[in-house]
Amino acid sequence: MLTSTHADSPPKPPAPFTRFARSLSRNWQLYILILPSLLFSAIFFYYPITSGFYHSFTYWDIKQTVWVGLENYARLLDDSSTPAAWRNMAVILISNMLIVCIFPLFGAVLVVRLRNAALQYWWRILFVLPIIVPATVTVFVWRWFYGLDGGLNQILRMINLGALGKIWLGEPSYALAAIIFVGFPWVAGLNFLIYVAALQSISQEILDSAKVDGADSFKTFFFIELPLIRNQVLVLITLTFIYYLRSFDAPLIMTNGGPGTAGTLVPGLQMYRAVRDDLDLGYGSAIGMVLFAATLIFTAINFYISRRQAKGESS
Amino acid sequence: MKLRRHFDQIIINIILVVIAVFTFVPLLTLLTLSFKDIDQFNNQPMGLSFPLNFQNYAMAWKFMQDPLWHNIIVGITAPALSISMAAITAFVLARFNFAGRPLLFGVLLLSLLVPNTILFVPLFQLIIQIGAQNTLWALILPYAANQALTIFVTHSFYKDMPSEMFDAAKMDGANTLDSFFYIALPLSTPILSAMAIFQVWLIWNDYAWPSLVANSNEARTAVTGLIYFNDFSRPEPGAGMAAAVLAALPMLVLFIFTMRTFVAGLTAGAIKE
Repeated sequence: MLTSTHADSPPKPPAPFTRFARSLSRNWQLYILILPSLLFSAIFFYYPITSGFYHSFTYWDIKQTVWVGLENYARLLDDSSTPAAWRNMAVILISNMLIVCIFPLFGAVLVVRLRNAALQYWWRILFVLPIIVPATVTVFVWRWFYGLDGGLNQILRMINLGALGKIWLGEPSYALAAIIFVGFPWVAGLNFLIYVAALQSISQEILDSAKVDGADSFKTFFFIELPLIRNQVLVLITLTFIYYLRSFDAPLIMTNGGPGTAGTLVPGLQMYRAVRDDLDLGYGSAIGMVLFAATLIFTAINFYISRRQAKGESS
Repeated sequence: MKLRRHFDQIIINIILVVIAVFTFVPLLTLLTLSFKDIDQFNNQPMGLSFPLNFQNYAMAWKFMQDPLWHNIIVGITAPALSISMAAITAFVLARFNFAGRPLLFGVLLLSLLVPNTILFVPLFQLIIQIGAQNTLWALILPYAANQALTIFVTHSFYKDMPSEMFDAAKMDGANTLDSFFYIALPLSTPILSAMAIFQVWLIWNDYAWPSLVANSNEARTAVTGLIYFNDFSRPEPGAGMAAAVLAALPMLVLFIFTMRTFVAGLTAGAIKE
């Protein structure tokens, strides 16, 4: 009896490897179809990431690789411009995180408050339009604006304050602020669009009932709209953070990290310059690794906070 | 009451006009500066000054035509390669069951979680190693490898498609590729074009990478060309501004022809990135 049930039982599931081999012989066409993606991912993602990690412990130029242990990391700590670079990045990050919560949101709320649908549509298009301008072009225009005969000094001369004029990007106390100021009033663009979409998705019934209860425009914003679009605000803050952690186009184009040794230097630019100026790829890789770690830590904190908030809501 | 509400609307419009002026003055200044000769440029940089000087554009075009052309080639080839590989991969992963599928999916999407700063240096070395520095390949290959976002977005799209469609096609004798090309692809064209436009936009905006690996006359892109032209060729200032206008123009054209897709692509791309 025992033996008969045993004979009737389904065959043992094959070991993972044989299962894979069987699937491979039956579905080989499917594997071929995803092979190009896998190859590109292997060559241009997995290989560089491994190579970067390994080489951050080496002296590395194009010709030779010499194991140096933690020397690159030690050098990074010793480098007198490193603290300045991280401080500059912190200033840029915090300013831009504040900017993204205030200016595009303010613009979006104004546009959503318009009652004339056609007018609202055209304002929206107008404030979306600047996304077509490449960031480099914007930075380029502002670089001229801050120059000796640039727009800012011309305006100062026009209002008889010419004495205040200076080469703004050449002054240690102004250069970083000048870079953060690029793109003022920071309303137009994708952030604006995302806020408008979020605000428009709030149901009219909620807004109407708020009005019936006598809420004015400010109360509606702070007690109804803002809590409802909190997620979008958090997403945009995170995106801004990640973007400015790795982006160094503006300092690269406007000041190359100056004035002085590190007036507007940021870690990303430090990495770029290690490669471009010194062909010091090992040092560059080490900076890349530290930036990567910083991003991971922030993402983890961010994840933890949003999970705790989600828990708080459900309980 | 009614009057007050009307008044509110006027105030909002006035504030919006002020914001718009601050937003657009730099861009309009760029445009007007691009029509000034060197005297007008230095003596009256604000506003239009006549006669308009079209010579700037002739000078800028002479330098910028190659970079623009390079960027158009890269901006077409790389997204085309990336999207076609990503779409078929996403389709296979979404509609078929085979051993190792979840693992492969994870392997292909991991790059979404990793900031690309970490790739910058080793990728530079790789490009030199394969001899692609200062050629368009230095741009096309890494950009074409940028597939994770498209795989992620189209995978969920293909997964949500009703399986009756594919069952019926199978009964009629369609194979994997047939059901991709005749059913899945036509239905996913909007989402794929949105992703493609997002990639074109990213490529057109990228400065740091091309300025490092493709800063030669043979491979310079539009925005790298713009900076190089101004910093090293030392043109007349108006011509430098005209080059900036030329560098931005193709995006304007793309926007005008694909407005809805453009906005959809950038929104989806920016949020998921």
